[in-house]
This record gives sequence, C-alpha cells and structure tokens, in this order.
Amino acid sequence: MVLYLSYRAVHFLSLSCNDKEQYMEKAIVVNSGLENTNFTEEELVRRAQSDLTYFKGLYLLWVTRVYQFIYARTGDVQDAEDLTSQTFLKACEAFPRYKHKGHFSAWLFTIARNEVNLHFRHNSSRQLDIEHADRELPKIDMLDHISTEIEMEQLRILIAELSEDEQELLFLRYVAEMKFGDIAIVVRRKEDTVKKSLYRLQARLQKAMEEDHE
Amino acid sequence: MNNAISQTFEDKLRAAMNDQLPMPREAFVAQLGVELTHRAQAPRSRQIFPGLNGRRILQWAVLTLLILSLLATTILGPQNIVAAMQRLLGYIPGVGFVEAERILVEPVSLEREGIIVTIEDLVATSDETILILHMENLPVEEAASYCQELRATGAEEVCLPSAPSYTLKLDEGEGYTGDLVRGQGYSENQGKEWFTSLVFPPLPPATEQVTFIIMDGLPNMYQGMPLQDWEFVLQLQPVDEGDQQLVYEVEDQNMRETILSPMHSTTDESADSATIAQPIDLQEEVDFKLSAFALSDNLLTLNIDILWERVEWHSVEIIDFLNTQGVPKGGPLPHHLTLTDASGMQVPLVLNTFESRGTESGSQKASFTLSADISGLELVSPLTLTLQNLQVEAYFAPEARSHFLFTPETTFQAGDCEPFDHVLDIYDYSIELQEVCSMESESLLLGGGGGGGGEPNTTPPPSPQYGLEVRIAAPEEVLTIDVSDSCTQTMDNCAGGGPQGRFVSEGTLISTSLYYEEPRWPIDFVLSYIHFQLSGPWSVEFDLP
Repeated sequence: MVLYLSYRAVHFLSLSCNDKEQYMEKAIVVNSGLENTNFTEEELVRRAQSDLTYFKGLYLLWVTRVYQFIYARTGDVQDAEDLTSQTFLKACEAFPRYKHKGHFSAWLFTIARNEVNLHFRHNSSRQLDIEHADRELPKIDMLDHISTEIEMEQLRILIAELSEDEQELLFLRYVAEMKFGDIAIVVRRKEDTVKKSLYRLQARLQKAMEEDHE
Repeated sequence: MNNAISQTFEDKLRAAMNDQLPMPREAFVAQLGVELTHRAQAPRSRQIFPGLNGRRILQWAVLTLLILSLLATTILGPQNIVAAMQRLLGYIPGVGFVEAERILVEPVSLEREGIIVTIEDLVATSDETILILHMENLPVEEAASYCQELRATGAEEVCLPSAPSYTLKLDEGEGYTGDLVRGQGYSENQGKEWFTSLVFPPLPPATEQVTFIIMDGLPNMYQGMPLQDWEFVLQLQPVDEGDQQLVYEVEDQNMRETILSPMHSTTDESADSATIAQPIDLQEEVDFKLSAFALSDNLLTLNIDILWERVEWHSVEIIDFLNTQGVPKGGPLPHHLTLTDASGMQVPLVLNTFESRGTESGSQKASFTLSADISGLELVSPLTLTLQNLQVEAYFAPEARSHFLFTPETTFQAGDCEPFDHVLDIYDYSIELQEVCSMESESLLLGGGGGGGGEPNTTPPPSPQYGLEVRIAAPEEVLTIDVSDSCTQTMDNCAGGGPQGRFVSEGTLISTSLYYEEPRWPIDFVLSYIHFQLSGPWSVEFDLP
C-alpha cells in the first residue's frame, strides 16, 4: 500500500501545472488495497460517502495543491506538512457529514484555510509579511538571471507587498487553481466579488510592473 | 525567454507564484496516506439522530429558533423588543442566529476628534466570538489632503492605505487576532462610515471583561495619520439559559409551504457556432419554504426562512436590491414583502437585517427578519404576509454552461459591433445575444457593478486596453447575465470578466470581457451567471396570538 501511494504521489508531483489539470480529471484510488480503478472527483466523492477508504483518492487528488497553498501562506516546509496533515485528517473525520454539492475543493480549502488561520493565531505571527517575504525570496543576481526571471522576481515582490487577503485570493486562484465559484465559497464572498477583486488585483499588479519598466 | 514575455500577464502571475513552490516530500505524502487509510477503516460513531437527515434537522433547528424568538419577544415587552430579543438569542446582524453564551452588556462608544467608534455588540458562543464594529465621521477629506501633501513633498510612496489590526485581549494578557472573513467590512456615507463584523476564537467560559484594541489606523485612512490606536473595555454578561429553554407552542397553521411552479426551458437549435448546454429547467421539485410568525400585542416579528434545492442558486433575496442605492444606513431597505390584515389594512414592515443581503453564498438558505409596530392598530385576523418577488442569483456549473464562439467577420475596430444572433431560453426567459462590440480604453462602457442598474460608469479601467461587450436583450425580470470569455487554457488571452448589468440609459443588458492584450479569435463566450427576479405572489396567512 505504501509503495503504491508513493508511486501515485510521485507520478502526480512530477506533472507540470497543465498536466495536473488533466490528471485531476482522472484520479486513481486503491480499492481495498488490491484493485486500481479510474474515477473522477465526482465519482470519488460519491463512493467515499459510502466507503471512506475512497477518501484516499480525494487525498491524492488534492494533496499537492493544498500543501502548496499552505506553504505559500506559511513559507515553512514543516508548518506546511503539519497543517496539510491536520487539514486532511480533519477532512477525513468530517467527511461523513459533508454534503456534496459539487464544491469538494471549496470545502477542503475552507478547512485548510481555517488551519492556517488558527496556526497564525496560536503563533501570534503574521502571515509571510514583507520582511519575511524578502528573506524567503532569492536575491536577484543580474549576471545570472535573464530578464524574464527578473520580471518574475519583481512580480513576486509585488505580490509579497499585497495584503494577506489579496495574497490569499491569488494563492487560491493561481496556486490552488480553484474556480471563482469555489473561491467565493472559501472566502465567503460572492463569486462576482471574487472575480472583480482578482481582476482589480491583476490590473494593479500589471500597472505596477509597467511603471517599474518605465 | 521570448515565449515567457509573450505570455499573458495572468500566465506570468501564475508562473511567478508557482515556480518557487516546493512539492510535498514523497515520504510525507505516503505517510499521511497511510494515516488516512487507518482513519478511514476505523469504526465510525453512530448517528446522533437516526432517521433524521440534515435537512430535517435544519428544519427542526429553524423551527426551534423561531419558537424561541416568539417566546422571548412575548416576555420582554414592546420597548426595543426586537433588538433585545435578537441579542438575547445571539442574533448577529448579517450573520443570523447563533447560540450565545455571553453578550455585551451595552454598546460601547469612544469619540476622539470627532471620530466615533462604537462596539455595537459582542456575542460569545462556544465556537467563536463575534464583534460588530461601527465607525462614524471618518475624516476621509483629511486623509485625501494628507496624501496630497505627501505627494507634494515627493514622498508618495509613504502614502499607503492603513491596514488596521483588531485584537481581543483577555485580562490575563492573552490576545486573539480578529478575522474579517465574515461580514467583510463596508463603507457608507462616502467612506465616512465603516461597518464590519469581526470573528475571534471562542473566549474562555465565564469571561466577564475583554479589551478590544484597534491598531495601525482605521479603515479608509492612511498609514502615519493621527489616531492610529484605539482601546475599548467591554463588559460581558451571561445569557440566561432559563430564558432560552422556555417552550411556546406555535400552531401549525402559522407555517405554510409554497412550491414554485415549474418553469420551461428550450434550447436554440439554429445557432451553428454555439454549444447549448443541457436545458436549464426547473422541472424537478423545488423545495422552497416560507415561514412567518406573529409575535406580541405591540410588535410583530417575522422570520422568513427560504430554503431551496437548486445548487446553482447561490443567493435568494427578498430585497429589492436594484433600489437599495441611496438608502442611508439605518434607513428602511426596500423589500418585496407586504403585510395586510383581514380588513385590508397594510402594516408597514421594516427589514431588520444589518446588511442588505440575507444569504450566505452556497448555503442554499436565506434568512430574513422583519418587524412591524402594531401598537394602537386594531388588526383583524388573519394576517396575510405576501412575498411579491424574489431575486435569485444563479451560477451554473461548467457542464451546464452554454458556449458561443465568436470571430469577427471584418477587422474589429473600437466601436465596431457585429451581430451575434443567438437565442436561448433559461428558466422561463428568452435570452437574445444580439451583438458583440469592440472597445478600447476610453470607449469602454462599464456598468455600475454588481446587480446591475443605475447609470453606466464611463470611467475606463486603469490597465486593460481592450474590451468586448456582449449586448443582450432579455425580459426585464432578468437583471444581470454574465456572457464573458471563458478564459480556458487554450485561449488564455483574457484578463477576466468585466462588469455586467442592465443600464438604464441603454435599456439593454451588457456583459463585458476585458483584456490586457488585443483579443485573439475565436473568443469562447460562456454564459455562466444569471440574476433574475421571480414573480410571486406567495402568501402566508396567520392569526395573531
């Protein structure tokens, strides 16, 4: 069982971002530890509601995105692993009470988000603030980096200067690759509001980038 | 490198955020997988209420709350009865009812240099602590001039919006940071007023006093301005459990169920370049409930609970949202409910909600409370509560969305329009996608924002240079439709959707897609959202106690 899970995880993790998107459509889950079957997320949710062992399939489907979402907010591997574990253990525990309406990822990321918020409350520290971000981000070496990388670096710095709420919206959209409707559920706002907020954020960031270039 | 430069800004954003994110360790993923397997195979605890499903439990919970509301109002008397009852039961404006353990003894205000900050309420439950915050007379003009002075001195970069932090501190020194998630503060009165509800972790049992601290400025202000920090000592009192546990019988006839009649749907067969999704219809049963309760001799409190089965309905409103603009804070919100007695006398109803919206997105439930002063009125039973209209926001799942490919036949210049000619029915409404128009910066006609309505806002967006406008004809019951670029991976050349709405001056619906680069053809327009008004009436009859 361990070997199998590792193989699936490694395979998934080795995929590019776009490939992941396609891969998400066909999750693979172990049934009773013996048979492999292809299932969509919908099918996994449906089966997991009668047989919780199928929750593993949902776990494999989302573990990378949840981990990266949490890492993006905490900037620490150990914290990211701890909080990812807490997220999935709580999700597994709560899953029998979960009523599926097509928003599993929104439900899962709501748990992840709560875990991160609790973590920051208990540790009385702010989320990856600007100072922290400056330390985390690699310094630009003009000799070794091509212009695109410099641009990426500038963009990362601009993102680090955004408010926590704004950063979270970007993380949910571009790290967790969530749909607007699901983000709206996670952050408890209207979908239209989320769309507009993200649009304005992008506009601001792009304007700032253009001004930097000038 | 060239490829990276030619990517859309959204691609760059995605790349910048993901390039340095590590993958989880293989051993960690495997170990957690094993742990989850063990958890999944462990025996589960029994259901607490066998035979009762979630919906049934919810119905009982709602009914119980309503009964408690009825009783509390009857006991407390007419003066400020609604507010008192709501506070006693843990009614949080804009949030709903919660099981309160402790509440604020009384609102606490602090005035400094004309700015008034009021803690309207604090409700402590076993799960969380909710604080309602209201700020008045925020010096927005001074804030603007403060920034202008900074700019004049060349220190523009110092002119940063303040980012207030909210802390709840216990006497022994422990502090909790507030979470703005619920309530999402909003401004009124041209930014001079600010309302929000803050959510904190639960307080220790029997907490009698907490200190609420605002640091790093106030909303709508700038960093460095005076009056950055505020502190309030809040006295709490326990909620008397005895009051909450009293029982009052509510007769069955006070509650009625209303079933929406099914609506029809057809698809457009003639559109060559369109992929019409499966008919969006309401042939299945719609579980729609409306409850009304009468309270006390002098004051009537009505609690309207609407539950629906349609997953795509994200919110249902009893408020006439299009006419809420310009209503001052505390002023009566326009709504679609009327109350009349058997003699035909109409009783004015006041909506008690703190915010204009009573629905939490995705909950498939909306709750509203209303009250009416009936002192001195000789009302004749039965009373009839009538809901004239409902406003519904529906977001369709990807598989239920209709797609329309668009490629202009000629060079598409700013101001050009080409016919689109797609007709489809959604629910009971005939929707005609008439034409697509191209715009650049100043010629962008942007709507008044969420919900549509009002005069168009002709202010161009700061950065996108291109826009496509889909002009739509639809019955007046349709308030907003989102027909915008789907922004798929294969046609990732859009900057996201733009404003949608019905513009008074245009008399038509407009849905906009905004771009940072000149759009590449074809554009895959997707219909994903519709905001519409259902016409009633739906009525409930009940007798006064």
